[in-house]
Parts: sequence; structure tokens; C-alpha cells
Amino acid sequence: MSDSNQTGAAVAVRGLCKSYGNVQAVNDVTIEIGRSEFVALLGPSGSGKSTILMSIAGFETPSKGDILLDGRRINEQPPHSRGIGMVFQKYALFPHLTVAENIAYPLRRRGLARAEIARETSRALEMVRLTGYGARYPSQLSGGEQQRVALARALVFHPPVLLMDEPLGALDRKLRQRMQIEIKMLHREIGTTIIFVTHDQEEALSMADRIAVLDHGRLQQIGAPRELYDMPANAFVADFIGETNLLDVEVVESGAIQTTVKLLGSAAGFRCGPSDRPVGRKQRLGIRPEHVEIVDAEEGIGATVIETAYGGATTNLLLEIGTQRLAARVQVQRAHGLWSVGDKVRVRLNADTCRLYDS
Amino acid sequence: MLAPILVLFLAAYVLPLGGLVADSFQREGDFTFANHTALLESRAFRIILWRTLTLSFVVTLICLLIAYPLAYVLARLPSRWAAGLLLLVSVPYVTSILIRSYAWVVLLANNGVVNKLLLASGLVDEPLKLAFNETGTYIGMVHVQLPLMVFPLYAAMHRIDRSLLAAARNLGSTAASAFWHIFLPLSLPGVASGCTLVFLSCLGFYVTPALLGGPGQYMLAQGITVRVLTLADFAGAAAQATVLLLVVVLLFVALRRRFAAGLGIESTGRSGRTTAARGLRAWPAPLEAAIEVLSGPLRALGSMLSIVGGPVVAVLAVLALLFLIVPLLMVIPLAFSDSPYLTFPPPGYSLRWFKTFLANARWLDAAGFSLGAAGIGAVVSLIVGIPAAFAVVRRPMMGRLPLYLLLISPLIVPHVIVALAMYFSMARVQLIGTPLAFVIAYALIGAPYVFVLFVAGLLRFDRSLEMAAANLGATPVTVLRTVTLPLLLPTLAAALLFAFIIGFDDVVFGLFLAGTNATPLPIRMWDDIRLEISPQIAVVAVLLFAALALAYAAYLALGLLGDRRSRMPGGGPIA
Repeated sequence: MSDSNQTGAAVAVRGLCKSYGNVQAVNDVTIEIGRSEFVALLGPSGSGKSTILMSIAGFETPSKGDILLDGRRINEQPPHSRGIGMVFQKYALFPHLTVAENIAYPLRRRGLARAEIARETSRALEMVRLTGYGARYPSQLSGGEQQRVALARALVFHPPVLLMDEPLGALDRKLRQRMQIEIKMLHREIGTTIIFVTHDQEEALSMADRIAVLDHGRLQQIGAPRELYDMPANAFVADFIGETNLLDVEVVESGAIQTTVKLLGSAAGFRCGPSDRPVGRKQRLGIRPEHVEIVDAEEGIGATVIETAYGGATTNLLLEIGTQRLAARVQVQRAHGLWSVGDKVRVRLNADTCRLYDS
Repeated sequence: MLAPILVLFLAAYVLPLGGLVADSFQREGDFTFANHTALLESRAFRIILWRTLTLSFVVTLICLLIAYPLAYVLARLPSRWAAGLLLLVSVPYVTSILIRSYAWVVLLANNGVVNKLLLASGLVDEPLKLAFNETGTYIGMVHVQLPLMVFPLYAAMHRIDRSLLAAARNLGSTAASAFWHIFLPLSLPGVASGCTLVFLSCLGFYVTPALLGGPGQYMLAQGITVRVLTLADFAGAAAQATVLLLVVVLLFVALRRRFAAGLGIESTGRSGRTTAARGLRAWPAPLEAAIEVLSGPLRALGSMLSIVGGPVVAVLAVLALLFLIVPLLMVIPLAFSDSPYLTFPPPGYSLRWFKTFLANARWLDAAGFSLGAAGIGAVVSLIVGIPAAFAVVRRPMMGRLPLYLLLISPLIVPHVIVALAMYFSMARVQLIGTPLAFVIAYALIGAPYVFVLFVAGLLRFDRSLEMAAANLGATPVTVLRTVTLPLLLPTLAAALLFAFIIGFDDVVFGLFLAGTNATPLPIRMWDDIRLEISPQIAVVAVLLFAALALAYAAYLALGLLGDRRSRMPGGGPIA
């Protein structure tokens, strides 16, 4: 990163609560965001992620808790004086103003001289590679171009923090992937702190330094993408980030070395890492499809193939063990058409890759 | 933000109406029901009441039957075409009621166009009596009310997803059964809105029955006017007005949810039902019964629409449009007649009637007075209506629904009643016959239009634009100046136009409030039509058409300026 990344500001959300009537939209959420960090707020709709973003921007007043910008409490500061950049979900470009006028809008509010406004505007257009588009109206632009105008408008006044509310949701897949890379590169270049709301876990994994996973207004887990993927804190995170099998099991034996569980609806048993869960407790065993191993006879547990799906480098198998289903992703050179529906196979779950969650 | 409109409504509407109702309970200073019992015992009044109710019901039904095929066809057209044709439908709505009634006199009188054609074709031996009796009233009323039926029907049908019909066909429906089971039920909210509007509007209608109806065959509104202005029976008039007001208010309250649908927000409390699920089920039982009755003819119409299919429906739609427009077009050549009498087609053409108009100070004074009073009235209604719309849409508040209903109620309460109430209360402060009286009256009847249009505009408004402006550093006042108001400019133009026209075309308030120093143009026209039917009115009509066309051209020009911009707020040319 260049040394310009010192322009970013630290943002802290502490004990944030927001309720509407008796609906608790955000419930005691604390997130500390470092200077020039790129943090994604990830969650399904209604998880409270947008409410948190709107609280930082100043459009929602916290019912409880604080919003801090570089350690300064800004709860009561009106939106227009916070100086935080924002890209809105549907861009919110002013339809009655040209592209250049849209981008100049924040500069005019700050009372910049005419010449300076013109210079900054054209520089911003250049940054998002839209030079020559200044005289057009937003309705004359494609979705991707509108997105970039929104980005230019949000960054033209060099805000220390940039908020993005599902900014890529309206774009098609190809364009979305290109914009993801562009935004990442831009972040590296200008070093603004970015807080990015999305419900797309792939987007969050590929873009953010850290991801805060939210559900029902509560922070479920916050961490680097790798951390969330490998060590989900609970079944929700395991299921929401990537794909996970969640098997219903019962603890047979637990201890400091390993835990043994029995699959409900069959006689099969598995070993997982150490835990102190009491014997007899119902749990959910999480394991990612790529960690399910198909092994030779005699080893492992018997399963039946009930569906196969060719996926290029890998083949996906849907297996049935007793009454429960298990998805497996197998490398193709091992699979090469070996299995078809109805085949009996044996599977092994590595204890290191199994995780137990409260059900 | 609500204070200005509340002051206006209190002073010019609520208190006068209250006074009117109170007056109806008085005789020689004592509280009494005598006025009302006298009314109910009066056979004449019962006949008038019955005549008004049947007229309203039948006109509503005929309007529905004419408007349904028209709206059906319009809703299937590409929206650009539909917008143009809806504009045609709206022309009669914004044309002075006097001119519309005058056009029907030209068409239907004994020596009118229709009878001439019939006689010439040998179909009849002597002229049919088409005007100055109930037939005339019905024809004129249907013409006047038809746009009120077409617009809600079109709005409901336009929203119907056509793929639903394709799905029904795919699932085994014939075209007729797809119409009957899918399209018709989905269009019912529009049917209900249209019927409600037309029925309520018919109940208190004054001008058309007075001009096209027979002598002595009064409707309620005429009965009231005659009692005050001719018989000076104030208590009797107040009692009649109270009865009419009661009927209207009861209907209004019963249908409050339907009227509040435009508000787009849940009424406070109780019902957790979603707007979509609220369809017909939330209706009071008598109304559901009425819809059942109405759906009989609709059922027949429905089978016809789908069995006979496109061509017949299209023909019906074209006929309906011609019915709306042709009478107005007939008026234009009349203005250039060189005959001293009203004959169609004119024996020769000249500008003599334009010259007499321009040479006549009484006409010019009246036109000037109307322009001024309606103009100031419209501006006042903007000043009070816009902040009220902002408050109702954007401020959390108790009693939003009742407030909304109060503010739109002058659209529903017959003008005769309001005018009578103002007449009584303004007489007390000696305002009758003054320009101020007209400004107040026009502001009061214009304000609901401004309010409704701005409520709709604000509900459509994308609030994230204002949030973006604030986020980019604009203070609340700057947000209003640079984003909100510029984007609401089309709404402002439409509101101004409507508020102006509603005052400029008014006859009823003029009848009650006019004086030697304050005679609006419609009253001049009224006198002229009643005293001698000459081509003079046609000249006024042509001038008004021209003004309207100019106003519309200006509006379009404004729209063209914004054409390259987004289609977001403000909507199309039809408000």
C-alpha cells in the first residue's frame, strides 16, 4: 500500500442498539474498524447491516450505544457535517443534474472556487474512467457507468471513510466481478476506510479485509475471510459463509482429546475435536463438502449416492446416510465417472474439519 | 407546517359547515327538528331526493358500462399512446362545465344537430325532445362524469400484470374465463373507486341538471339553490343541505379506506392487514352488495369483451372517446358563426362574435376578475397545500388518516353545500360580493388538489436522493432548494394548473358570492346561456381552449427540458 493510506479514519460502533417500536433492528453490536481497513457487513435482509451503515452516516439515531470517528463521538452530528462518503444502493444520482454537476455537488456545498471544482471534478471522472461523460444526465448512462459516477461523487471530497450500501447489487454478474476488482484497487490506491454492506458472501470474501457477519440484529462473528471460513463461530456463520453440511448428531462421549458423536437416524458415529459438551446433548455437526472424503471399502461409514452433478474441476455428490443427507465435493481425477446414482460408497469425516454447534 | 391550511379550513370550511348544520336546527332562535321533519314530510322533497338518488345511480352505471371497455383498451395500448388518449379523456374534465353543457344544448335542442340529422334522414317526423328534460340531464351528466370513471379504471387495469392472463390461458382458461376469473376481479378496485367518485359527484351536481334538465325537475343541489336565491327560505335550504351533507359524509366515512388508499400508508393501529390483502374484503356490507348488483351488467359486458374480442371492444372504446370529445369540437365552428342565432352548422363564418366579446366591457371585466381571483386563489392553495402534504407524508403524527380525509373532503362534499355555508358565514362579516370572498373560496377548493398531488408526488419521491445530498454536505434547506423542489417542479406545475382551473371554472360559488364588484366569467356565461342561447359562449369556449392549449404546451416544454433526465419523480403529463 502507498503511504496515502493514512487518509483513512478509524470508525467504532460501540454497543449499538436500534429499535423501531418493539422490533429490535440492531442489538448491542460492537465493531472496531481500523484506519484504511476494508470491512464488509454481511448478513441476510433484516440482519441490521444497513441500519448500522445508516447510523454511521447519520440517517439513523442510535437508541443506545455510540458511533465514533477517530475516537470522537458523532451520534448527534447531522449527516451533512459528518464528511463521510457514501454510495447508495441505487446510487441516488440526482436525475436533474448532469454527471459533472452530480460530482461537483459536494464541492459546491463546501464552497470551493469554480476553477478548483472543475479541476477536482475532471480528476474524479478520470479516476473512474468516465472522462468525457460530464455533460450527460444519469439516465443516459448504463448501470455500471452510474455506479462509477456514484463512486466518483462519494470520493471527490476525499472523505476519510466511504460507506457502500450493496452498491453492486443492481449489476449483472460479469460487471459485478469487474467492479469488485476496481473497488479493491481503488481502495489500495487512496487508502480510505471502506465499510461495505452486502448480502453476497462471495463478494464479502473476495473484497474485504475483515467481515462482520450479522443476523437478526446481532453480530455473529467478525474476522478475516479465512478465519470465518475455517473456524465459523456458530452454525449460522458456517452455513452463511460458503457451503456447509449440518448433520444432526448426539454426543456419545466428550473429552480433552476428542468428542464422539452419533448420527441421528443411523448407527454411524464420528469423531470430532475436543469439547466439554455433556453426553446425550443434541448437536449439529458442520463439515464442508470438500472435506468429505470418499474412501475405500472397510474404512469409514456406508452411504448411498442419491444424486451426482458434474462441476468441471470437481464433481458434487449428494449422499444419504440413514435419514440424513450429506453433500460431498470430490476432485474429478478421483471421481472420473466412478459413481452413479444408487452406488454404495464409504465416507470418512476428518476430525479436524468437523465442528460441533449447538442446535 | 399544517397551521396555514388548518386556518383556511377552519375559517372557510369547518366552521361555516358547522354553522350551516346548526342553522338547520333553528327556527326563530329555538333549537328544533321542525325544519327537518317538515322536509321529510314534504312530498316534493322526497321526490327530489328520490330523483337525485336514481339519477346518481343510473349515471354511475352508464358511466361504468361506457368507461370499462374504453379503459380496457387504453390499458392495453403502449403507454405513450395511452397517455395521449388519456389526455383526450381529460380535456372535458378540465373544460368548463358550462361549455360542456352548452355543447349539449347545441347538439340536443329541438333545432339542434342531432334532431336536424334525424329529420333529414327521415327517421323521425318531428324533433325528439332530447334536452330540457330528464333525457338531457342524463346525457349531460354521463358526459360530465365519464372521465371520473375512466381514470380509476385505467389506473387499476394498467397495474394488472398481463402475464397473469397468459398464465390463466396456459392453465386451461378460455379467453372469456381468463377475463372473468382473473382480469375482472383484479380490476374491481378501480370499478369501486370510479363508482364511488361518480356517485358522490352526481349527488350534489348543480350546473348540468340546471341547464339541460326540464323546468321544475329539480335535483337536490338545484332545490337548495332555488330555496336560498329565489325563495329566501334559509332554514329550509340549511335543512336540505344538512341532509345531503349527512348522506355524503356517511358514504365518505364508510369508504374512508378507499379514499385513504392514495396515502399509501397504513392507518394507525388495529388492522395489520397488508394493502394488497385489503381489496374488496374491507368493504362495508352494503357496498359489497352494491358491487354484486353492479357486477351483473359487468358480467355480461365481460363475456362480450372477451368473446367478441378485440374489434368490438375497440369500436366501443372509440365511440366512448368520440362521445367525450365531439360535443366540445362542435363548439369551435360556432364561435366563427356570422349568424345572430345559434344554428349549426353556421350559415356563414365571421369574427363578429369575437368582436362583440372584445368590445363588451362586461365580458372583459368578468374575464379579468376570474383570472385574478382564480390566480390568487391558486397561489394561496399552493402556499397552504404544499407544506400540509410535506407534514402528512413525512412527519410521524397521530391522526394522520382523519387529517388526510379532512383535507381531501372538499373534493367530495358538494360545492353547493360549501357555497351555501360560506354564503351564510360571509354574510355575517359582509364579505359577499367582494373579491376576497372569491379568493378564499377558490383557495379552499383548490387546496385539496394541491394537497393530493403533492402527497402523491412525495410518496413517489426517492428519499435516498435527499439522503445523498445531506451526505454530500447539504444542509436541510439546501437539500430542499437543490434537490427536492427542482424534482417536484412537474408536480408543482400540475397542482397550479388544477387549482387555477377549479376556481376559474366554478359556477356554484359564483352564484352565491357574486356581487356588482365581483362577477366571475362563469357567472356571465351562466346568465348568457340562460337568457339567450347565442354563439357568444362559443367564443369564450374557443378562447379558453386556446388558453388551455397554451398552458399545456408550456407544461410540455417544461417536460421536454427534463426529458433527458430520469423519469423519476413527477410522472407523466397526466397528473
